[in-house]
Amino acid sequence: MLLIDRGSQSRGRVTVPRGLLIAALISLLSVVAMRHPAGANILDGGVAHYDPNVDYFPDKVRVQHATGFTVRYYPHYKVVTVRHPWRHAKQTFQYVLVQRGAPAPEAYPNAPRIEIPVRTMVTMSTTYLSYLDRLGIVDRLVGHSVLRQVNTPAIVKRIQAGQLVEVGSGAGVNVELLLDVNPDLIMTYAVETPQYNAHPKLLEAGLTVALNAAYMDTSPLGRTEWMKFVALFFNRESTAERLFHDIVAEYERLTHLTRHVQSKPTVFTQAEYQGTWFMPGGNSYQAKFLKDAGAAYLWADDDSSGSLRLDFEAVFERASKADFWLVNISGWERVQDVLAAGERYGNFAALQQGRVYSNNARLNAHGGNDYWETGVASPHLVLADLIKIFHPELVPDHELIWYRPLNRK
Amino acid sequence: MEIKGRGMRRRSPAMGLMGLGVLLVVMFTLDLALGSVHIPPEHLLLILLGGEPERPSWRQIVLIFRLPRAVTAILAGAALSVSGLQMQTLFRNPLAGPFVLGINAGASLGVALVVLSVGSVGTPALLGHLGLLGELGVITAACLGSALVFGAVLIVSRQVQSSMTLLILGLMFGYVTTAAVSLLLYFSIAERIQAYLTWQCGSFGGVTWSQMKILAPTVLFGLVIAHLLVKPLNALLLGEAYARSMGLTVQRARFWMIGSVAVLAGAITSFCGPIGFLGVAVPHLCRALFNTSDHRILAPATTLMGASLALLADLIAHLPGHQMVLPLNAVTALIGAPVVIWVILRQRNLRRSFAA
Amino acid sequence: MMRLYSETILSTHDLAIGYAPPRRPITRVAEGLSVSLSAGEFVCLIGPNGAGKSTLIRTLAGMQAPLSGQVRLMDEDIQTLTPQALAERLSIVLTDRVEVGALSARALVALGRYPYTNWTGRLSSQDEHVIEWAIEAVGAQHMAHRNVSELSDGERQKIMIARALAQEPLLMILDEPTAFLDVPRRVEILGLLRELARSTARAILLSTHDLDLALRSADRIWLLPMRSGLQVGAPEDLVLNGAFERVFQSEGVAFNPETGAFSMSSPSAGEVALVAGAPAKVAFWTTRALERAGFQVLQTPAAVPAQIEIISRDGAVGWRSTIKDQTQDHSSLDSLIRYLQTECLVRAPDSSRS
Repeated sequence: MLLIDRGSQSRGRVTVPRGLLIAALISLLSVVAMRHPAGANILDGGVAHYDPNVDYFPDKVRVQHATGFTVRYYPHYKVVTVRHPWRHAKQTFQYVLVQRGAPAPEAYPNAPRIEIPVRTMVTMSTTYLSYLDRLGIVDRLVGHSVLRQVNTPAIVKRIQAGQLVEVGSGAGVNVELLLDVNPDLIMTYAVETPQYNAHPKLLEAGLTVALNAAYMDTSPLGRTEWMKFVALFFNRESTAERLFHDIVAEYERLTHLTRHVQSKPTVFTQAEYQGTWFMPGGNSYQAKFLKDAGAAYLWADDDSSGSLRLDFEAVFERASKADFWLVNISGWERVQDVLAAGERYGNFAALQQGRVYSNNARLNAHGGNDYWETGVASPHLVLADLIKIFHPELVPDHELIWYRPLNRK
Repeated sequence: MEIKGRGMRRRSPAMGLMGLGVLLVVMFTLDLALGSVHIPPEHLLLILLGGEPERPSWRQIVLIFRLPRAVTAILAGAALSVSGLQMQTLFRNPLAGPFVLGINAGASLGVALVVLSVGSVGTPALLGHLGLLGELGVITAACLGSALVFGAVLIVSRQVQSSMTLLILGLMFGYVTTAAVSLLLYFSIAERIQAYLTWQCGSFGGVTWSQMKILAPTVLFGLVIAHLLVKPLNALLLGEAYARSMGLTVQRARFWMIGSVAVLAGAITSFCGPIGFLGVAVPHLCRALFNTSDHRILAPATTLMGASLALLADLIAHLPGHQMVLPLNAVTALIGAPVVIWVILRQRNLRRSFAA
Repeated sequence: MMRLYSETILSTHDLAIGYAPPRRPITRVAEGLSVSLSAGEFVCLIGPNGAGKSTLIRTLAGMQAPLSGQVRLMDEDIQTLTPQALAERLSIVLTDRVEVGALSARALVALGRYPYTNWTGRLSSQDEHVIEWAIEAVGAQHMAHRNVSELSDGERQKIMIARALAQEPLLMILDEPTAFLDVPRRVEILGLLRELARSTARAILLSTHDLDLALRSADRIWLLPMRSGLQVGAPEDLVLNGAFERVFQSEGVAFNPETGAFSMSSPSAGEVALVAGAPAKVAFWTTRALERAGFQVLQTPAAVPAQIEIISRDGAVGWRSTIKDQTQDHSSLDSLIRYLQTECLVRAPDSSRS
């Protein structure tokens, strides 16, 4: 009687709209064989009477670009695996997301069980906030690490109404406050250096924590596909699939535009930080963006996905005559600021010719950068920004959103 | 035999000094020639003579990056070594160095106040860069900090008769300022601490030509003063009582010695961060090599030797062929300490090479 | 060139010395000091510990200020002289061993030319001449090239004296320069200083604890007792007028003007008679040994139970003791004394006779 294979992994080349159609057809067909309370995932509340024959997740995600997480669907629970929680991690994290009203499974005994859809949530990074907004679950947010950094208007409104608590970040996270609030889920990230991580303390206190490792993904689309990861906890797969599909389509359209440009301007990024210039590797997130934007990244020949540690001299040798320089240093608003930070930067042709761009055009009153909020959720718009910089003739109707040139004065 | 040998060594300090000069030139050339970017030696020569090498970026690399760094190393090595020599003689203490009066602690406090307090706690990790304040801001803060401590030491030195008391007070100033820095560190976020610690590692590479216009004359001024003090320094070898009886105004000599050390050590610390070890070790090396305590020889000797060792440390820190840069302070100690140990043990008796 | 003994180099009148630390009571060490030093004079300053010799030396050398009165050097108040001017007139040698590191003895002596050289310390031929002379004057030619750290204490003090000489002062003041030296070295140095004072027509003032040598070599003694005034005179005059005895008298110690030495009074062990007529040297040392053991030595044998006779046996000297008719021969003073001591111990109840 089971038409749907238990434990099938949802992954494949099927695009979302068609997937929905198929799911709808199957559910229609399965009316005889199976009973579904509704034709979609449960967005609110739980199951009144659990039926083991029912597939409670007719809306599923297919992960195509992100390499950092996988999801395996079962009729009444999902198993999410985060494969690369931090650089050089030797462990993975698994979460069993159980539909409320359904019993917790016996399989995957070591993975924590999280009841979904999550009712209250606390976030530890602004990079998830835009997804909450687009998935329509801003009302579920009850706390955030540092409130001053937030840009998303709907959330800012909630902050101003006093509906969000500030829980701090990293190892200094306020565990007591979180125990008091006791959210259904805390979503945070982890880094290689254990002292900076919040999750050990939170787990020790018995709170429910899920690690979001979007930052480890090395392609722009892969990173944004983590919106599906967030959606999993709220049963909002259909919305996520639709949104992402649109983003991918636009992104690929733009990429196509630049594929056949005649000349690609040279570009380099970052700046010297405490004696070392951390230059993104050829396979890094930033390098892929630049490639897709039709620029010739000067370190594209390198094949690492992390950062190269270079000294100023080595960077200068290759990039002294580069066409463009992209930075993301807070406080650099004008060319003067760059020179104040280091006189030697004045020798770069890009600075001399006013072709330095920074992605700090959208800051809130406290310096919180929207690039790391809405920007990471909209790679197609970021790509448009970059193409506007390198090949403005290709995107005449686009105005720069997060990138801005440094002022000459 | 023994007598003759020692006499012979003592008869040729001029030769020794010339040898050190040659060493300096060699180290200078090496420091210019080696770096993360490979520049063939013939092109280096061409650049130094004003010509155009195969790749124009090479010329810029040598002139903008390597040359100022090498010159800074020379100035720093000379300044710190001569300062250490003066402090060791004034306080009759083989462990004394340019920072024994807490001057670098003052500079550290200045930098800490500026680096650790700028920006709010909670600024996202990706923001918050030392560049927020600018290089010049850090230099100025360090200068003010060391000047503050120097002023305090000067005021106290007028009241205090004994140099030993002054030494202890200087150490105490150092402790107090270091403690203040620790407090600032305790309340800071990780990125700022990192930035401050990076400054603490020391570096010759941060000085640009326009900053050199301030650094070079200051150091040269301090060096000249130090060399003018060779006679009082020699008198102080016998201790303050004898020195006074020979006509030296000890208070005034002490003032000038402390002054020159404060200027030299303060300037170098402000522009390069605190660079340890050279100030203590190089005077010992020179005493052992020249087998004399005569400052007429030791002053120029420590200047030349200090400059050479600083260049060597810079060379090693830049690990030619690799892209990474080692912290300078670690290099100076790691290459220097074994050398001093070897030299002192060969002498078999510290007293022979130093007035304990 | 000074005329020996006629020109006054240093003089004080009613000088008071002591310490006046801020916010604390003044310590008066001595007052009413009126002394002078002339060219060619070699003067030793002696006195018991704590009498203030060091304070006086330091005050005269300009190292500390007097409480009242002046120290006049060539008729100028030394407190008004610049360090340079003072250095040309006065040089010092202190007690402590100086560690100068790797300097040759000659280089150390050369430091004495400090007041006369230019800012680099370059030595002119005149300077070299003086240095050479100073080294010869102390007899240190053979060690001049050696490192100071290799010299023995005695050699080092000689070099320090040479340095003080090279400074070409009118007056040299030495503060217990022989304190750490052995006796032969002390004799040598005091003799050297006395000779130098005369031959170079300088005034030399030296403080010392070595009373015997001071008495033998000084032209004049400055005797500084505790709490009373400084006494000045020829050494022998001060002995004969009893000043020495008074100043150095204390518990269990007495200065014996007859011998010119200190004697330790030990509890009397008894009386012994020494038969006269033995060689003077042997008799002298026999008396010394007996007195050391606490016996009072009488020259008249009458009614003394113990008698000692110096005899000659087979060409060697020996001693015969006769105690209440018991005769014993001894071949050494050591055995004689031990014998007497045991004898007297046996008779302990009787030996309280004095």
